[in-house]
Amino acid sequence: MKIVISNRSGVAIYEQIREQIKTAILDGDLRVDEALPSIRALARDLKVSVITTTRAYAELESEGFIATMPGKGCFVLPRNEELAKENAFSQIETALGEAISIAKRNGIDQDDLKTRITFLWEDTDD
Amino acid sequence: MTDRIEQAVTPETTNSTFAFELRDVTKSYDSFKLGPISFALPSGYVMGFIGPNGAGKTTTLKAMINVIHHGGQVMIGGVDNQIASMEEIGVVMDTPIYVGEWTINQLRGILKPFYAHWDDTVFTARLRGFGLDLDKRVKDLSRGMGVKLQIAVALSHHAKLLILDEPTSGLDPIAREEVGDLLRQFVGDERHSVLFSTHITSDLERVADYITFILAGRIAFSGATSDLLEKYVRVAGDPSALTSDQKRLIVGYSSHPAGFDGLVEAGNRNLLPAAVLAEKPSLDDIVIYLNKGAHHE
Amino acid sequence: MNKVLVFARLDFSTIRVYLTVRTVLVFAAIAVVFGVTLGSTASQLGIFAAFGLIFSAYPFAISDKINLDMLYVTLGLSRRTVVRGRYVFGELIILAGLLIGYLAGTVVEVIRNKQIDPMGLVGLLLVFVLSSLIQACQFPIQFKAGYAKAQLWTWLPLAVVGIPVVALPPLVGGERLAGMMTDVGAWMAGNLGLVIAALILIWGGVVLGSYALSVRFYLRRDF
Repeated sequence: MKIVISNRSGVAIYEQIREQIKTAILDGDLRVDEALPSIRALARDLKVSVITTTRAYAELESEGFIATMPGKGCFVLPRNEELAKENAFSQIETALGEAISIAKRNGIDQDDLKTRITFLWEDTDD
Repeated sequence: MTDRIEQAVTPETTNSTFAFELRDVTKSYDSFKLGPISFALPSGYVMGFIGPNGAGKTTTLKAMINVIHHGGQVMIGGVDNQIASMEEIGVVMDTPIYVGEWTINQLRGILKPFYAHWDDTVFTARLRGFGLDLDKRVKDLSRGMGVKLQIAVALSHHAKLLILDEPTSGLDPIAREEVGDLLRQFVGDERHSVLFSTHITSDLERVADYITFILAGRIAFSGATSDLLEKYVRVAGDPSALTSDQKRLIVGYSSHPAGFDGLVEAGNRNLLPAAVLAEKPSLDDIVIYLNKGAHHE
Repeated sequence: MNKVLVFARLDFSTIRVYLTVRTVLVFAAIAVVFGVTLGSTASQLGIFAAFGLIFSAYPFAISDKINLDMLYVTLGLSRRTVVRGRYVFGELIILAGLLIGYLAGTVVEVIRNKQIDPMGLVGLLLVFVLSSLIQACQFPIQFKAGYAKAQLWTWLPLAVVGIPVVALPPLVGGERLAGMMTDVGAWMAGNLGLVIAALILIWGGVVLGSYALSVRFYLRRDF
């Protein structure tokens, strides 16, 4: 599993780790029941503090992506479609919420926004 | 002071999950008073101990290892520092406390009899890894090499807690990264912990799990690094847009012809005008603004 | 006890740098010169005893500069062990100095008088006791305040004993002094048991008292 940390992106390191592992799981790069590196080993390899990887894994676990077996390590859980969708929606809501605030602040109405969304949807690659 | 008891009590005999705990530690000098200070580190993590020069870092470390008399209590691995085994603690000072004329090989022979569990293979392997020659004299070592030597010594007597006083000051970025790497490796084993003091905050963000920030002999913050970074938001903007109530919320407020800047607690951001810039602070920002804030009190 | 001996060895390792062959030879040369000019084994012993006393202060001086006292703490040593080890080291180094001096003196005697001075061993014992008593006065001060601050007081006992020893012969007159010494020597030889017992008691008492003081002072220090 390759994880690349950016020092400049402004995104917290634990978030980057979390998101990259999540993407790897969703894309199938990390298979179900596959073992993840231990929290400490990952911290050592990525040259970050242990609490950073701890938090990334803790959040992945609470979102249902991985599970920790005491004494055995962390494993990828079978993809829970429901959970994944719910998770995705909560991210979408945050992003859309911001888009809506900007729109309202600048006097853009709902229809204009919807048109723009449709346009962008066709434009974005899968 | 009661003298140390040499039949030491080792952490294995206690069930403490803390690498160390300080409880209301105090120390008074003529010109400076430390404490009462309290903070703790759970086992298996790295704590960065930061503060400006003169804030009390070295005094605190010395009190922890019982080199100076102090009020309050220090527990190392669940054992009072008056009776804890020094075998479990590796001390790394900014200059090695060894006689300059000793060669590293002589040093090995000199230190070995004092430890019940000295591991020569570890020592030799580490020296090789660090590129330290057995025939080199202590006085001929550069600062970085001196730090590495002391770390090699600490690892050879199987220290569980590493305490380092300014291990990176005076080192170039490469050497600093090497030390950081060593410390991260050390806590790869969760029975190991590290406490290191520094006034260089860039050392901390990717090494320190916990941060204790000391200012003028008192603890300004102690907790997880991410908590400290999320506790504050850096703000900047037009001072004329602020009411005096709002100004009071800003820590380390400083204004200049181009505007103002400072820090607010994350929860207070919304009490400031929306036009004010708010961004994630770096550790440096936090240290600088908190320091400024303390000086205005 | 083991840690005490290991610590005494640490003290030797600490000063060994300064114990170069050249330094020893210089001292030997000074001693031989004194011996030949003043004409007594005692002066040789005295020089080497002073040599031992000077060196026993070295760990204190070095510690002043590089805070070896902190090293001792990190090695897990109790303060009592450090004090005990330092006393063992101190006595041993005086003894070592004296033995070298005795050998040097014997060589000079053999060269000059073609015979060995029988009172040499008693002289050895006396000088050892005297030096050890001087050291017993110096150590507590050095443990209390470190070498630099203790310096004046360290030289005081040395001067109090040393000056009379050097000044006496010229004042009293070499012959009369030699006569007095032979009388005293004869009385001592006659009452050897008493002399030795008295020496041991005085020496033991002072050293123990000194040790107790040193421990008290050293316990209070911050490094």
